[in-house]
Amino acid sequence: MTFKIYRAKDQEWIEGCIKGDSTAQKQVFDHFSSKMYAVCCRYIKDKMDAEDVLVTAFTKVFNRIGQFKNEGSFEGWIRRIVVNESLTWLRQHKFMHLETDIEAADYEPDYQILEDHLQAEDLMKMIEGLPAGYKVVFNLYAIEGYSHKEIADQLGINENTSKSQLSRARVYLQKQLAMLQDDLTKDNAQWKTN
Amino acid sequence: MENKLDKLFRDKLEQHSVQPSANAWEKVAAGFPKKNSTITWAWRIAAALVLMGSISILVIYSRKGEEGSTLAKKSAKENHEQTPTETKKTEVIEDKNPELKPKAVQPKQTIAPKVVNQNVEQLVAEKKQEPVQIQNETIALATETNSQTIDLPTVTEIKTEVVQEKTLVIVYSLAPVESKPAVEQPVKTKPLQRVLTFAKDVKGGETTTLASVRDWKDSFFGTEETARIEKQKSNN
Repeated sequence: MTFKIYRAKDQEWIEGCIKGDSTAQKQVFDHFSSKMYAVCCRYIKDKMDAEDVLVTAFTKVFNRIGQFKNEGSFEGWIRRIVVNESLTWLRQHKFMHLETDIEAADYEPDYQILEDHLQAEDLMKMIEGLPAGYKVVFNLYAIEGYSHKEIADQLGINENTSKSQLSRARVYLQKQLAMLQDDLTKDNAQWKTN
Repeated sequence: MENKLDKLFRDKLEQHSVQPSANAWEKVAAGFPKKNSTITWAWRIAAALVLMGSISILVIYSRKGEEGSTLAKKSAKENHEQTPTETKKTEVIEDKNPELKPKAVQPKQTIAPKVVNQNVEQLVAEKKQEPVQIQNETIALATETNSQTIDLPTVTEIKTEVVQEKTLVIVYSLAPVESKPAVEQPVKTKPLQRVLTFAKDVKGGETTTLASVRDWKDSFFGTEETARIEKQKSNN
């Protein structure tokens, strides 16, 4: 039931945007902008640059609204535009260089503890810290759900390159998570002691 | 099996939100002029079309006005000239002879018989005409036209009006719509027969005016041969 209602609201907005109704456009922006801004921030470190990309992406959304054919979700369609705009910006600003090597983590963290204690903002900071090439591939593969073939086509790289960038990203993040878990454990230990 | 690290990040971040700055929407709205100009252009084109349409209608009606005064003054020949077109012409014929604007819309040929009967009776009552030749023309023209369904009352009214104005013989493309080689075919339906009978009666007492009109009509519609034959028959 809820799903159907949500879908109908999408349709109203889409029809309004096609007509150029500024109220509908504002509603679409208000509803999706914060989620899409988070997407931009995952790819682009600087907040102002990320916002510029958000603005460009939504301008494209409203210009191309007539092309949305109701195949799949409206949010998914917007998200794809936002991701593409982020990649375009990164390409133009030469942030797509690929890193080479990285040290492996000492151990694998306990993901259950991390799931329970970590906030989204914590993980966002970790991703921001990722080297550019790792960041893009990790975002596209692990969060956006693209395949290595799609990533390779999108970035103009080899599929194997995409795979290696992903594994290196994971190694980097694992190290970060391990350090964070250490901190959490120490905090818990101290609290228990006290 | 899905990577645990991937899953952790996806679960936490896929639906994560970060609030953009307050003037983010203004920046987006500032990028809209393209859409507005598109709308403006559409309106401009629409306005131009409406203007052209209005001018066309004005020209048509002004010509129609001229026609009206001409009808009042000119001879029956000219009136008769208009008659077949008015009686029969649909919009298709109207396009061919823009000067001869039908004052009445023509009834569909299938409906025509009834309408014709009414109108013919009116004609008989009000004026004497020569529907025979006209009828032939009517039939000929009928084959050309795409008969359109018309409001009978409206047509009737207009017909009366036309007849009263002058010698506008409003003859309808009568029944034999189905019969293709219309010109010389004999009347097969009752309404047609009635009209023919009436026409023959009229013919017996034809006047100079009617004769000249008929002659013109024959030459115009190429039914001279038919007219000659008819004459021979009536003489015999």
